[in-house]
Amino acid sequence: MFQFGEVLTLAISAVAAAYLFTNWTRIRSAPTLRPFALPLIVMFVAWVATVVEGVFSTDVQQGWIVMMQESVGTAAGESAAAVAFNLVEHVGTTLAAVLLLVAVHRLCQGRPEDRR
Amino acid sequence: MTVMQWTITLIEGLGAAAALGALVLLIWHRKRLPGTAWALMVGLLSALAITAVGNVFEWTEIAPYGDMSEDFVMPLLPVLWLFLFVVELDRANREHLRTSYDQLKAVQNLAVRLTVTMEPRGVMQDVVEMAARLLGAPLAAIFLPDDQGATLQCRAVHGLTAEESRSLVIPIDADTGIGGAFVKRRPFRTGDAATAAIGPTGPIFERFGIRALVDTPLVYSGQAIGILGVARRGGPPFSDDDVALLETLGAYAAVAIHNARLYERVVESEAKYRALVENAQIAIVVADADRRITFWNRGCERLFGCPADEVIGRSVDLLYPEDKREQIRQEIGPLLDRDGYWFGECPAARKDGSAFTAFFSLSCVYDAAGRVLCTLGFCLDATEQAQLREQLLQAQKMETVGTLAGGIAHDFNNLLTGILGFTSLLRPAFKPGDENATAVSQIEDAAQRGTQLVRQLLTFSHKQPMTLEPVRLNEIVEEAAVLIRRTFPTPIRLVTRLDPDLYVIRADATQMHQVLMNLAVNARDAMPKGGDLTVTTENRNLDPDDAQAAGLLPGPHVRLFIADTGAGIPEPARSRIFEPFYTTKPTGTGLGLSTVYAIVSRHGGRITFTSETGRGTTFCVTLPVKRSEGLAPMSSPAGAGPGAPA
Repeated sequence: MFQFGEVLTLAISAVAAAYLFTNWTRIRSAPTLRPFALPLIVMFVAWVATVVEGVFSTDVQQGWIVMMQESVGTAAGESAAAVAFNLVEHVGTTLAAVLLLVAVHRLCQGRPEDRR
Repeated sequence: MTVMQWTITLIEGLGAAAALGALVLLIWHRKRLPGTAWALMVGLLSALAITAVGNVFEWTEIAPYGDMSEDFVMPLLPVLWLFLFVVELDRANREHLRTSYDQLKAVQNLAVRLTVTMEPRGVMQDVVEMAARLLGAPLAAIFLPDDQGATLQCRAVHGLTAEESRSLVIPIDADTGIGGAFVKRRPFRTGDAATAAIGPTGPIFERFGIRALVDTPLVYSGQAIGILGVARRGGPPFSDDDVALLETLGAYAAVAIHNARLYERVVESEAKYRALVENAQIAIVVADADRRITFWNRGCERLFGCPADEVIGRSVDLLYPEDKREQIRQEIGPLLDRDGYWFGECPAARKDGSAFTAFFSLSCVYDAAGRVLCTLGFCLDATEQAQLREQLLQAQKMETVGTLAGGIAHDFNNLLTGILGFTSLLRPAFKPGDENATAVSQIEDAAQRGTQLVRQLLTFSHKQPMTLEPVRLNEIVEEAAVLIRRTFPTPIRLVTRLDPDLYVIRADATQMHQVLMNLAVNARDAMPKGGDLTVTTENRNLDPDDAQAAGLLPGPHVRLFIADTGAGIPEPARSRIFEPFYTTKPTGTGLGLSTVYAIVSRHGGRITFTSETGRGTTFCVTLPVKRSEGLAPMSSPAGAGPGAPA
């Protein structure tokens, strides 16, 4: 089962990642953007994991793509792969949040050259 | 809840806390970031925080539909992220463009300033100040190789004292960072100067706290002439843009330093040659294409008696006598135009109007199009040379005439000897009172006059024997004075002013008498209506300069002046009066003054004259005194008084 929001997020993040990739040289030389690139990559991995988790999910009685699914988490008896990808998703999201905290801290507290 | 649920709840909780913490930081430091970027970041972090909190709710089953955030908020995250990148990148691009423009403008300003700064030290200081400012570096310096080419030494610095900069000596070594940049003509960059391979200078840089540095070679015409470097005591390494900018500055600096050095050499050379030309003994004058004087050295001031500030800007015509300017212009101008140079003697005039003969060497200086830029003139006072040349010509003429006259005189003397011999034989053949006896007497008288003439010719031609003996010239003057007073007409008043201490000279007394009488007779003939005939004697010591000017040897001399108050010598005759057979008198032989000239010359002396039409003439005979003779002055008995001066 794939949630609509997760698929949409992955699609948009793919565009963002492509933009990041094609403009990497310029982004690398922009001190404001450089710290935000790594969290995006981490988040992208998390979103990929979220969608891949749906492949291994056994909860398909309501169709492949569902919206407003009331969920109580990973059902008992879910496959190990689904559990692992789910874990990657949440760890990735948290890691991205921590990296963003570091980036913001560097921007706000760092040297003037870093904000240039 | 299972362990898995608890674990994920904790992880998401941590993520939510991090996102919220970042959000708080961002809000706290609102003014530290550009507005749009700040807003997008706030949105991004808010969305992330909502997602994380939603996940916590979902997993803890606190709220139903907790994962609604995944469907509605989570898709906003990449959108906001993308917007953040697009907006910030655009802003960064604009900022980069603005910075590049500012840098370009600054470099352009520097280039303009460098073109007008011609002092190498000033050029280098301008460059280091600009490098420090554009690259935001607190330290900047220019290093130039020493005379031996062994080390690079700091010649201009920003951010260090002169004392500190003196310790910055970098060996020119291809294996070290900065030395290698110089040798290989490639920039060198490091973010940690203390540990980078920069050779023995590393500890010095460490002492100054230098961390990041970049050095670029100053290359002119393929050759490294120095190093331009900037450094920071901390912060990130210099970027590629920084290196590129420094290279641009270095390219300008290399050309400017090279030009400034050339200019410095030109200025030094100009000063050297200006001093040489200014202080040259020879007169040097420069005139522009309009014949206006633009340069006038001290030699000119001495020669023409006119300071530079009085002649600069005036026509070169002032070099020439007023009455000859047009003629000189017409004679020299076409030749100068045709050949580009002219040299020769021509009349010149001093500021006081006195004329003199000058030797000019004129040459034109042309521009690339062949137009005359200026005319360069060298000028020498040729009066003395002209006089010497005149004297030489006169002497050669006299010598030639003398040789000719001497040869004729000998033959003529032989003829006269025969005539006188035969008249003495004829005389007894006729009675006194006989017409034939009278004729013989007239033949004899004529032959006797011829003999006198021959004697004069022989004297003139140096073939008359000369008996040199100590002579007191005053005695000869007094003897001649007696004769003059008896024989000259009464209206002529003879005045003698004799120096009682006159030196004794070594001369032929008879010939000296002849000199005196010939000059006195000429004076008499110049005063048909009477006048004063003044004979003066005096001692004169000639120093080397005076002697050279007079054509005599330095030392003691006796001078004899014979002055009259007659008509004076006409101007055209003045250059010819010593020529043999030249005379202005109807019955003259033209041998009087030429004989005097020959006698004085044979005694090692010199005769000169000054004459003023209508006011009279003064002849001056200068005769040398031989010191070795030890002759006493006139007033003392021979050999008893003081001798000639030492």
